[in-house]
Amino acid sequence: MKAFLAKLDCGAGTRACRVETRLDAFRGLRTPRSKVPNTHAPRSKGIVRPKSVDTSVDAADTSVRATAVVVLALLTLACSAVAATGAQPGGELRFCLYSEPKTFNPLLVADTSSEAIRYMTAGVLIRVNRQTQELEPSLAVSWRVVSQGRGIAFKLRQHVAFSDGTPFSAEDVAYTMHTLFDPSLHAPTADSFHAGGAAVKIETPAADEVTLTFPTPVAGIERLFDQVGILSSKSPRKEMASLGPFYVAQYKPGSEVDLSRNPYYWKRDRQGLRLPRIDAVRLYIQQNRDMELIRFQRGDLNIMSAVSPELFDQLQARMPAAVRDLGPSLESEMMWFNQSPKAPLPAYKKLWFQSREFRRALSAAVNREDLCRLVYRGHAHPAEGPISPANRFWFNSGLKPHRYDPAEALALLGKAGFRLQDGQLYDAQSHAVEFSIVTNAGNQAREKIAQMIQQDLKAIGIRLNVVKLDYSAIIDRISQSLDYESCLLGLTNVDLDPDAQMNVWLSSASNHQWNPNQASPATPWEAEIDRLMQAQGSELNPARRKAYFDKVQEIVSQEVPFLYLVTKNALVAVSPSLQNADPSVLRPQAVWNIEMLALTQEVAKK
Amino acid sequence: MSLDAAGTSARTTRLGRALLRIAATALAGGLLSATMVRFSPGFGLDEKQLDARLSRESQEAVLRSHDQERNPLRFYAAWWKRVFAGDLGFSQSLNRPIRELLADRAPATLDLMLWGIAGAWVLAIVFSVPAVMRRLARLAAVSSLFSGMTASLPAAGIAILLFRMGISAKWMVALVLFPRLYQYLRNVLQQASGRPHVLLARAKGLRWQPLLWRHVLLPARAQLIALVAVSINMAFGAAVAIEAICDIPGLGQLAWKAAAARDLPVLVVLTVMIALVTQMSNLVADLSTPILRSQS
Repeated sequence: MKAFLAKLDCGAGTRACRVETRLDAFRGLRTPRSKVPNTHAPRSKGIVRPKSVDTSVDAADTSVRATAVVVLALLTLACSAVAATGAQPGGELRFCLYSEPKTFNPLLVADTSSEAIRYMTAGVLIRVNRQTQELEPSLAVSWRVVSQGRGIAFKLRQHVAFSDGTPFSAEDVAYTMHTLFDPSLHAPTADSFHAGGAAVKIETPAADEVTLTFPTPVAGIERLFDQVGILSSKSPRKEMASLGPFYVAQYKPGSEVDLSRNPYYWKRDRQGLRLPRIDAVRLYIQQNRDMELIRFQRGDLNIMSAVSPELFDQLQARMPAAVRDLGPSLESEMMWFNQSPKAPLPAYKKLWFQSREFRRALSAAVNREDLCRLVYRGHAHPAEGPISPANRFWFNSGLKPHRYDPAEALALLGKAGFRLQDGQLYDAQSHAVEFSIVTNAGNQAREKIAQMIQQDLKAIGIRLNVVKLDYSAIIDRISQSLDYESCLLGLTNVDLDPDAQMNVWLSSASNHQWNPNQASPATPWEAEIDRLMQAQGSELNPARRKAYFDKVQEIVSQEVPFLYLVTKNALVAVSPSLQNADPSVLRPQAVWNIEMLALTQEVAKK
Repeated sequence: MSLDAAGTSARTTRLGRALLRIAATALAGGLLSATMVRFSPGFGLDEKQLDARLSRESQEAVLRSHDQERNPLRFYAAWWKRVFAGDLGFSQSLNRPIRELLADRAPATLDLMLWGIAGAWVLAIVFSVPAVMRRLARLAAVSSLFSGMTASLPAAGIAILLFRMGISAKWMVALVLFPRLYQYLRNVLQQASGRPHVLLARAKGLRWQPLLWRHVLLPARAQLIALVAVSINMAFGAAVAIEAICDIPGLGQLAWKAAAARDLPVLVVLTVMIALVTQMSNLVADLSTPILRSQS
């Protein structure tokens, strides 16, 4: 057998990932017999299990016949190995990551590129369907929330193996959860559970059952498992052994990440064929979106995600069939004023920023429709609150849109003691109203937004100075020195559930940007938001949680601590050569159903 | 002591001093870099801090992860200690050992620099030699205009322009270097070709080609070697901007990313490395000059 395998190795393709795919297949051919029950063996036609070979051979047969049978059995076995790996000519899907992935460990993911790779490689217990936004069974066939929301019990899928053939069991889930909740890891995914460092009880009553018990109830606990990639407790490849449709075959730092088809992926299509349909995924690490556009037009790339409105319109003119505007995404642009008492700002400016009328007036003075039209070329919508309409369940459709009304803005300012004199606005102590807004340099859309706000505020006598800083300097200003007056940044809700925004809304939180780390709520409305957020976090009934969070959205809309400006549309480009593409506004947009994607025959053959 | 021995001793002393100067420059450059990065706004911060999912403990852990870098002197001393143990440090922003980052990225930059330098020299020679030796006034005017135009553009500007035209990054480096090399090369050639015996030879009707090597280039070889050393430094400077714009995974791109992320260990390694390369190439030029002059 070993000699046979060595020959096949030599005959394999020259590319490292291909060699690795085949090696994995062969490893799987050996391991299922010893480690996985027979039922784990791939169900492809023509499988001849070694056991049946042994029993079917009559000991009285001549040695020639026996040899022939063994050779035949080996050949059949080889064929079945090819079938098991699903060696269909699926081709290679190519698209870009816009930054270097920082980790391949699914538990340590914190950046967008690593998140995309985790989605394609890691297996999870429960998957959030990016199109319906509903939960779907994945490695867990069923689950139930137990202990009044403090726990969750999973029934696991059987006969599943990692990409290197190591069988999957409850032990792996327990190992993953133990690793995830290691206090020294500081994984964002673990923090989402709000376990607070307390011990999480993990039990495995059977090989296909796991129960997790947390010290306190966890709101919306099920959806959090969409982010928890399961690790193998036994595989020698450690976190590189995957349960998802692909595994990382090769990484060329700064250049590309190559994924290969997981030959043991558990999912099959309606015809019973093993998924995914594509053999490999090549992810180019490329920040330059112009170059990406050129390569997409040349046919080198199959997908472009998060396309800018300018490139979208360029592409629409040249390849109208390729572009798709999916409507509002989860990304919005917003600005806020520094209300922190610790900020090194003049006292009179702090009074402006702490005035509700001032904030509401400025909100009314900004023409959001113009921002959508001119900055985003119509591929955006005026934002109403912290939750985008793309978040179907949690969006509060009752919020009133922020109307552009400079007259109302001036009226509100008048009520707060401001006066307009010779085109300049003055406060009650005769200070000319002038402040600065910081935003990150290099983000063209944000720079344009800042310029347009500057024009809008000029119309009500306010002088706005735009300060462009690099991202690190902005983080320093808004989180450490607090040396800024107002800030314009983007917001991306990675998680649909508002429980993930706890660190934004609680007044004691460090990401409560307008006035972080408060010892006690500075205003009654912040105290009310604290109460409502805590209430939704400990409530299990989704309808009641929604009611609490709707109220939070209403308070935010009235008090305007954040001026939500626009919700960007999700813009993607999908090559006509890619079949079954059904892009979603949720990340990873065009590849959320990667296992179902297929390339046209001509492209697949390339 | 014989004259030869005295000469060798003087050369050894000079070499020793030069090496000490190189070491001191690299040391000082590294420390300066560490200090500048340490006190730049945004140092020790990570975009993870804006991740609303992170608990207070995790955010504090992110901040604490840079504790060893807060005192630049202490960091620098500890870093050199690790360097002598064969460890260049760890990049937190890219989550990889710096040794691996350098090994992965150096070939791309070397390739870009070598082709760029070669291209720039070819262009400079093609434009300057006929202009000076054949006294082609029009060519001299056109090449001066062209080099003036390219010299007035920053490396990033040239890179963006050529990138949009679909021209290879190697040509971008070549075009960034060209004006500097051209100006200097033309001056050197003019100086060498203006020597009395060259002028006399030309006046007697000798063609310029035989004169070029023996009477123009060879006498100017010391300056030309110094120019090669300078072009290495210029090429790396150009590579930073070009690699960042064209997404070339080289050391220039690494420097760019490290600067944006205030990655202190990476920036110190790159600074020391560039200081060493620059000083070493200058040393080679310095040492070769008297030897070449004595031979001419």
